[in-house]
Amino acid sequence: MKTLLDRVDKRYGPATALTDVTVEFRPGVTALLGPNGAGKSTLLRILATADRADRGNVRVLGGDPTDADDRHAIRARLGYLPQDPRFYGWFSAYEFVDYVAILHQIHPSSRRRRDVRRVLEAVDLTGRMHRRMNRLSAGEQRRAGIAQALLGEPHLLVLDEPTVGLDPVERLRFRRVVSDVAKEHTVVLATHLMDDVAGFCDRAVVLQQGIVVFDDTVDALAAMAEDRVWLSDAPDPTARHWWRTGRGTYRNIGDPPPYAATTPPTVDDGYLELIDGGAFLPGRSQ
Amino acid sequence: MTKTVRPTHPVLTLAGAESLRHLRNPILWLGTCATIAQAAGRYADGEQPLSSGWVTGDYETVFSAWSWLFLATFVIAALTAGRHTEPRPAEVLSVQPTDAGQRMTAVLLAGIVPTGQAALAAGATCAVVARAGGIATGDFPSLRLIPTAAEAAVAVAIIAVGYTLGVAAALTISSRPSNVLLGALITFLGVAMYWIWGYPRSIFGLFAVPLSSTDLGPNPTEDVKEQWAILHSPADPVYMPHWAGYIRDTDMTAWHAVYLSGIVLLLSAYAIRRATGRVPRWPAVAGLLLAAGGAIMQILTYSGTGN
Repeated sequence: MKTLLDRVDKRYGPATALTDVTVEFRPGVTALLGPNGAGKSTLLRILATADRADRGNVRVLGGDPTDADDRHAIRARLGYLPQDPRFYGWFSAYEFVDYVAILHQIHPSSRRRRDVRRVLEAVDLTGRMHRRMNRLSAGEQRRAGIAQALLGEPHLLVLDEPTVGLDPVERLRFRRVVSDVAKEHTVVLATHLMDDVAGFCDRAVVLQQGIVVFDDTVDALAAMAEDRVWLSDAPDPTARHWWRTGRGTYRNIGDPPPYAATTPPTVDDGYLELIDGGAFLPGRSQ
Repeated sequence: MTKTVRPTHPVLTLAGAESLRHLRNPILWLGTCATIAQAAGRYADGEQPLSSGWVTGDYETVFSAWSWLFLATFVIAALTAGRHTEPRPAEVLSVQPTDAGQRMTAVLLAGIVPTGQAALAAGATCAVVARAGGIATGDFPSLRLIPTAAEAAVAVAIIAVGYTLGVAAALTISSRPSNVLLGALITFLGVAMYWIWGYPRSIFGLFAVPLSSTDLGPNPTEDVKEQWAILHSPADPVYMPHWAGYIRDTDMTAWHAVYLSGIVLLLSAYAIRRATGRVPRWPAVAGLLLAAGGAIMQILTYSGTGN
């Protein structure tokens, strides 16, 4: 049951969102990284059958999303959380998830109710599930969004910035839930939080300006900055990027001077080294 | 990938869920209670109140009472259908196996709730009015009218039209306040001010009030007076010198209910077209036939005077 994009292009008017993107998704957790506007959400929307590619071949769970029957079968085994879903404020969390469960065609009703409770428990929302959505905090609304995506034990889970607004405990809970799904199924998530990537993702795909610039393990992404990270007591003028750490030292990325002792890179370092465009980084040297 | 058979029961399950939401909605119950109170409140004690004001005033008050339920139904329908046009939740909904057409069909089927409440209000009104001996009409205290099945059917059909109209409005105009205002305007012009829809405009309006009067002259013969149900005798020879009789056109009213059911189907077809981009054939064709047939038959069966 392959899920892949093969030479996919996507444009929105004059703007190019994806160019010649080829990537295959396998069971496990794949992190989709890239600067704002890199095409991450577009790629996820195509995977989730919410949008179509202009060119190229798309297979989701072995099916062709342009075929009506295949699309129906894909959607029955898909969980999707868009970037900014904004659910109906006057529904309670339970009503909202139950409504999506009906649309997901989970039946009979006894099974549907069990599944709704299961996913609400998974995101620790049962205590507030009868509160109206507009009375829940942003993090709780996010958790309700994650809950609806988990309905029906999806074979493909597509999540666009799922941990935004979650506190550390809830992020940990989220990692556990998603890791459980990823034991057998495919999870693709877009995020800007490198802790999440390092914490539980198997693989990273990096997009820049609609082009896949990296597709390998998370360790390999960190290794992009191997021997290129060093600490100093003051900003190093030779560094491409630098920032002050909480310990008062400066972390530098770039070509290390001969006197510097390099330090093991993190996923953050590897990502910054890879992207390198860096205009959005406050510590970038000119 | 194996071909899947699309089940139809998700539509029914979803329609059930939408119906339950409607049943729990206090606005619809308020509309129902206000309609019953206005239509039947005067008869609740079982007494026969005398006609007040215009000779058919009490009879027609029963029609304007439907404004409350019509407005409540329009607003609830618009809010429910408007949910499907919000862009961001729509993305979560659009990737579910239940497609937009099925979702909209379920919303439309949930119209059974306000329509059922209309039937309840119509039944309650008829029962209370019948127990009180009928609606006092004309200057003869003995002239009492009990609403017929055709008139009750028109009232119920009007609420069904209100529901589908609300759905159609929400799929056309995205602003909720605008839809509420539109609902209020349609209610005022189409239901509360039913009298502006006299024959032949009533053919295409919401209410087709079946009662029309005719002038029998200042001195009708006893034969003429026996042929007509007398609404009015010249109590004041100067200002009201003529006798008046009435005709109650229940056949035309029944065909008006058929016409309205056609409008319900046409509006449903429009809603599904807006939701999916495809025109559903059978509701469109059936709606067209019923609306056209109902309109033509109203003309053919009309026996009133236009007054």
